[in-house]
Order: sequence, then C-alpha cells, then structure tokens
Amino acid sequence: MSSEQHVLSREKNDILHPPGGILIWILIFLEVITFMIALSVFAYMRSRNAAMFAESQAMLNPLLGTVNTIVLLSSGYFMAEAVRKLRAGLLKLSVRYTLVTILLGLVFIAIKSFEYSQKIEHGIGLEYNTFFTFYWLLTGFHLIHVSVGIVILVFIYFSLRKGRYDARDHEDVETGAAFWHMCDLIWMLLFPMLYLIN
Amino acid sequence: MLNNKTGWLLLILFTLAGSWLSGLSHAFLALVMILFALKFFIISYQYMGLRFAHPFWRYSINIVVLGFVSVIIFSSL
Repeated sequence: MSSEQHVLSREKNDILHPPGGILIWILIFLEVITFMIALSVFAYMRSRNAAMFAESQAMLNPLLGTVNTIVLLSSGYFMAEAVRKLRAGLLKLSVRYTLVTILLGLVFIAIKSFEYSQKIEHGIGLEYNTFFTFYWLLTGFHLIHVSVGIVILVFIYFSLRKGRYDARDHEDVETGAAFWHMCDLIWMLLFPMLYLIN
Repeated sequence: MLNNKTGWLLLILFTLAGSWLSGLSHAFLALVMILFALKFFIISYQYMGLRFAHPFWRYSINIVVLGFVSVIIFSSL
C-alpha cells in the first residue's frame, strides 16, 4: 500500500472526515440535489409540452456542449492529478497542473460566453419560452459556480507557489479540488438533460 | 482499480458515446442516462476520493444518483 493510499484509507472509518472535509461534502450534496430537483421539474415540464421543448433544444449547439464537456472533464483530470502530485510531495508538478486546470476553466467560460452571445444575437433570452428559462437559469448558475471555482483555484495556485501546502498539510487544496469537481458533476447533470435528451 | 488517466479516457469515451447515441434515436435515453451515471461515479469515486470515504457518503451519493436516473427514465416512458 502506498503512503497516499495509507493516508486515504484512514478516512474510510471516519464519517466526519470525508476527503476535502465534511462541510464541502454537505455543500456538494445540497448543490447536486438542488440541480436534480430543478432538472426533474424540467423533465416534467417537457413531458407536458414535448414539441416546444424539442424545437427549442434543436436551437442549441450539441457540438459546443460536447466540446465544453470534454474541456471541463479534462480540467477535472488535471485537478485530480494536482492533488495526487501534492500528496506525493511533487510540489512543482502540482503547481503546473493547477495552472492547467485554471486555464481549461477559462476556456470553458469562453466557449459558454460564445454560446450565450449567439443566443442573445438571435433574441433568445430568459423569457423566450419555458425551455430557455430553464436553460439560462441552470447554465447561468453553473457558470457562476465555475467562476467561483476559478477564483478558489487561483488562490490555491498562488498559495502552492508560496509553499504554503505540502504532502502532509493540504486539506485546503483537497477542499478546493472537491468544489471544482462539483462543477464537473453539475455539468454532467445539465449536459445530457439540456443538450441530448428529448 | 482505475487511475486518473484511465478514468479521464473513460469519461471522454462515455461523453462521445452519449452524444452519438442521442443523435441516432430518442430510444437511447436510458443508455444516455446510464452513461451519465457512470461518469458521475467516475468523477466522485476516482477524482474526489469518494472510494476512500465512509460508507455513509458512498451510499448517499449512490442513492441520489440512481434515484435521479430512475426518475428521468421512468418519466419518459
């Protein structure tokens, strides 16, 4: 068993100390359940007006959605690696991977902004129809989470560069990473529901 | 057990498969939702370290995700 696995396995028997801390996991549960409830209402509304929802969904660009999903998943991979490298004591690599995570997060925001600008150009706003009310609110709230996540990661990046965290003391980094992965999880909910399924 | 890189490859593969299947037919809704659930589990268990957490956290997330997938699949029937 590696030292990383040894440290992590101790958390298995401790309900109050999940990886990243209990508060972030309570937040993750609340956020995920909130988005799931909203999407269940979305599915119910779609069942009542399937034709309008299908027409509206056809106005979205699934290619942009797919590219953005791959960008966000890749950023999640680099963040997971950043934490792993830090646990292994490889600080420089951890700093580098955190920076890549931030850059990919910015790419996600850029693609989403492009998608939003296209919708606005065509006059598709929040009050266009029920589908787009859900679209703007759900993706908008997710984008706010991504923006907050990037701010947290920038703080972690500079703290890592200053050597504030090491292989033994890095719970803040794990917490920030958990928040970033939560953005992944929420997008995993939104992408199929808004772009793929009708 | 997965490592981060294998997990990432599976996530990309499932994303592309989901996009492709949904373009083929609406009949693949259940499969798209199962792929969603698998991606959710890879991120939470592999990237977020849920596999090292107390069973309470693991069972809770399993119940929430499987409940949501069931609601979406059965509401479409």
